[in-house]
Amino acid sequence: MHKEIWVFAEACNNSIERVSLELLGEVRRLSKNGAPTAAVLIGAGISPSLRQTLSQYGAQKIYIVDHEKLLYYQSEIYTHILTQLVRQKKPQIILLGATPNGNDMASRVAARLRVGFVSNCTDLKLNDEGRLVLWKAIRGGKSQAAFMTVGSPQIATVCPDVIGLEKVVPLQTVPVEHLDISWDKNMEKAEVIEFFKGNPATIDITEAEIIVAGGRGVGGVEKWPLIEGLADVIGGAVAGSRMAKDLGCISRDRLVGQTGKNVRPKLYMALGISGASHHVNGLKEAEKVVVINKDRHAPFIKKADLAVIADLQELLPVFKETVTEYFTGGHFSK
Amino acid sequence: MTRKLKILVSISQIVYSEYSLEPQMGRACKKKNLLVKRFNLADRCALEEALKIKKEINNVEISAALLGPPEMEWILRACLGFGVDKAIHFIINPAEYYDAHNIALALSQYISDQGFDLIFCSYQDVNSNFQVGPAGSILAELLQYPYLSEVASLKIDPDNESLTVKRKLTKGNRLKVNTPLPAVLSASTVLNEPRYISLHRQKKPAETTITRIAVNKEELQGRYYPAQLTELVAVSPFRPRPKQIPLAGGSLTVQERLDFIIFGGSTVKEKSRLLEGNVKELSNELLNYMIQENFL
Ligand SMILES: Cc1cc2nc3c(=O)[nH]c(=O)nc-3n(C[C@H](O)[C@H](O)[C@H](O)COP(=O)(O)OP(=O)(O)OC[C@H]3O[C@@H](n4cnc5c(N)ncnc54)[C@H](O)[C@@H]3O)c2cc1C
Repeated sequence: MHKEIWVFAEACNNSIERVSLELLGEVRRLSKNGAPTAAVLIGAGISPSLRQTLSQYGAQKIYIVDHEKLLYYQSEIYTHILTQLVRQKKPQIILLGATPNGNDMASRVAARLRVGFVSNCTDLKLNDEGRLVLWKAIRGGKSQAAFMTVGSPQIATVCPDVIGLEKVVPLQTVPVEHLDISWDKNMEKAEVIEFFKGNPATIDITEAEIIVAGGRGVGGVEKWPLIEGLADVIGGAVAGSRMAKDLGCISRDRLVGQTGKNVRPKLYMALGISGASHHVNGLKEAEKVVVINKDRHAPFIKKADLAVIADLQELLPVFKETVTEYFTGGHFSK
Repeated sequence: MTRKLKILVSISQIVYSEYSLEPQMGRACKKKNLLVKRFNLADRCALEEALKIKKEINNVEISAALLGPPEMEWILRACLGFGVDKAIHFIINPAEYYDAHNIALALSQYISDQGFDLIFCSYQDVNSNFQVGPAGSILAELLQYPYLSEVASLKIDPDNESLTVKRKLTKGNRLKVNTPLPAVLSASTVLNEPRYISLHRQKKPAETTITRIAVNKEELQGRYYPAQLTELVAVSPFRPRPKQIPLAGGSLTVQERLDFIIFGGSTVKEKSRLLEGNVKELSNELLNYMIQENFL
């Protein structure tokens, strides 16, 4: 019987971090030799929908530790819980997302168990002996190095968005094991005071998942509220091209491109931007790019996943209204 | 009078590979690969924060510790020039591979002897050299101190006994946490704008003596077996993982299909979808797309 491969399912605000779901897909591929895939979920008031999501993405078993004190990540307590679980269940591999909390916990658990750990991996393969070969970028991303860990379990964190999501499997009931793990009061050294939800309108564009970027084609400062209004309804951060900056529509820290910032959102909407290489260089890592431009020969059109040929002044007010209607539950014809 | 606050900023050197272009007589420039060693940005932010604390609070002593080969000592000279009180150089052999566990072990002995209250130990990012690792959390584990990573803002409480930080999480979220001292922190690069290190600062001889401690891997291994918990097995130019697409589409050319077979996925971006029409239809299409792709 093969030992389990675990994915630590990081939950925040009642949703699972996307990278954890990517990892479940990866484990499905890795465990072709028959090792069962289990997800570990730690939190407070864990809803059944999270369990469903995990099973749809490939978890064959779910371990849950649910306690009111576990609403937010606390290094010592979470480390203690995961270490106890590992000692009880003895998995062969544990994968976590390379998020601030994922990296933090993985390295601490590995240190406590005196086993190796590799962070921020960009690729992973299982060799014939069942050992993971873990690749990560080094030297400013120009080279990569492969590592193997010492001891068992093998622990690694994997960067978000390098694997991609697998197709979901049909909903099925998977065994769920609730575990009761207690901890010492003096482990609660750090105390969480408050959680601040990131406001897309104010967060740094490098952290934004959706970016609405405008260029000269928007029509200057007077027309800029069109961009801000759209960003507001779809929950995106506002950014822009050099021309938008020069026209005074955005500040320097919202400029995308070679002299601005490199962004990696899930959706980048480029509105009235021609697609000069200086600009496009800053969004190489964007997952999907939607371009709206009135010129069908603009260079950006070829680089887009979806290109819409339209005049912004006409399209944006209607599109904003359509999205607002969709959110308020109004009629929407597919 | 509040008690003395001892801060340690542990600095890692980062190795980048860059090109330099050498002009050639009558020919195109020759490209030469260079390995450039730099002061890690997160560590510069940590140093800046330590200096800020020193300015705001009386009775603060800052030490800077560098783990690196002898030629990286300019980093410590620059730190001393900025107002750091003590500098410690843990000299390592650049030809050897040190993992995060090795580094944390080397630092932990010194830290527990000196009794620091606040230790900044950076987290590595994609720019890191393979010698650097998540040493901060391992260090915290070895010392049994609280650890807070990705610190985006920091405030020492008036009694110098605890501190409140905001941690940077994903999606712009922040978590405000209070922790007693001593503690280990890793600075995020949004913590502050670190000061510029001029060439003059790099070259200036240090007025304060730098303490040098040679790190011996065999000795570490002998004392804390196993001291090294990862093995470096290969180094190669960066090749991003190809995106997984289950089948080679019939629309691909022969070359693209060959690439597909060799690299295990499509190497070309799918063709853009182009939409034209009246604005109402376009809005609905755009909305459909955003719903399908789970953006709304
Ligand atoms: C060294 C250097 C560094 C640079 N760095 C950067 C950088 O970091 N970031 C950056 O962005 N730029 C940078 N630039 C500038 C860059 O080359 C381009 O000039 C700039 O990106 C163009 O901005 P734009 O696309 O908004 O404007 P334009 O190129 O003028 O494009 C405007 C677009 O809007 C469309 N349009 C006009 N009206 C409408 C309408 N009503 N509806 C729909 N579409 C419309 C037009 O068809 C056109 O395609 C740099 C340049 C240099 C030389």
